[in-house]
Amino acid sequence: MTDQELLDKFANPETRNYAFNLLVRKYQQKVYGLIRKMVIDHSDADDLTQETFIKVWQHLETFRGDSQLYTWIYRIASNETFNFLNKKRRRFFLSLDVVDHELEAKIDADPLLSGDDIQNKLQKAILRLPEKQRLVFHMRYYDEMPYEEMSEVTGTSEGALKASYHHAVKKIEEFLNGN
Amino acid sequence: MDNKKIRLADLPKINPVQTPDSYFEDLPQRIQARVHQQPAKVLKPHWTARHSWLSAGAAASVAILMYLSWPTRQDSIGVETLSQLHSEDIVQYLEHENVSVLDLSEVSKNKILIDSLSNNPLPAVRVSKKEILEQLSLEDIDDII
Repeated sequence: MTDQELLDKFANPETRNYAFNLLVRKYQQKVYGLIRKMVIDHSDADDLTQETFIKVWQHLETFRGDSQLYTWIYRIASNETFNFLNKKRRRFFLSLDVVDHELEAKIDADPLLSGDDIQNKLQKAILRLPEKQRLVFHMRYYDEMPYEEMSEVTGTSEGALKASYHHAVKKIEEFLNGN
Repeated sequence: MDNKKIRLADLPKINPVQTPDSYFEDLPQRIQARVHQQPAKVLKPHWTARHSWLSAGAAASVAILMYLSWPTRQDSIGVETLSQLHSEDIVQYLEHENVSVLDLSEVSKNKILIDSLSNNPLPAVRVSKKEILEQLSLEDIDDII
């Protein structure tokens, strides 16, 4: 079912629940995957994924179709994720470094994160990126999202996103080779 | 040496994320359940007991400040009200306030003097140096200094 068909069904009160269920099924893995790579912990990612879709439900009627539906959902997901990470830092008076170290420790401890040593090292290298650059890296590297759509999600120009991704790759390779 | 360097493009792209069994099968139902638990958005004043206490405190503070800063309105006692009093009552009141008739008389004289001075400035004082020195010899200089 196309996004437009989903939106049409959502607009009809009789088929709203059905449409929303289909929408969640269509995008849940992508949304969860993006959030999980950012926060590492499964239960945090689970909460944030649910919060994201609850916000989608609350605001889908106001979606005007200026962007693609899934970039709009990604935008909500990334905002939820950044808010979560900021709150976590503020609540425990933690610096960025401390939060990143905590997430790094979760990579080692989490049985749900797969991968050999080099993959494990790659995840730790990604965690050393600033949060927004980390999001850019995930969307480009794992989701292979076009820069145009990434621009819709982040509200950043394509040129800036290209530069950010290029620098991210450079920093990751330096980490992989230097440690 | 460069050949040994790890390049991101050479690494297999593996999705590192795994989820508990049947996680994505259950998630839509859990989200739907939470969606329907959300209270309907009703615009209502967000008033709590804390707000009530804060408002009462603010109102009390304003009242106290007004009371303390309000000028004493003696002039609000009209002339007509005073005219209704007997002279004896006024004298009694002044005595109660430790103001004697003599004091009032002095005040009255001083007022006349001050009024006259303000209208007619003192004439140039013509006092000789000798007279000043004589006057000083009568005063206790230490007190003056």
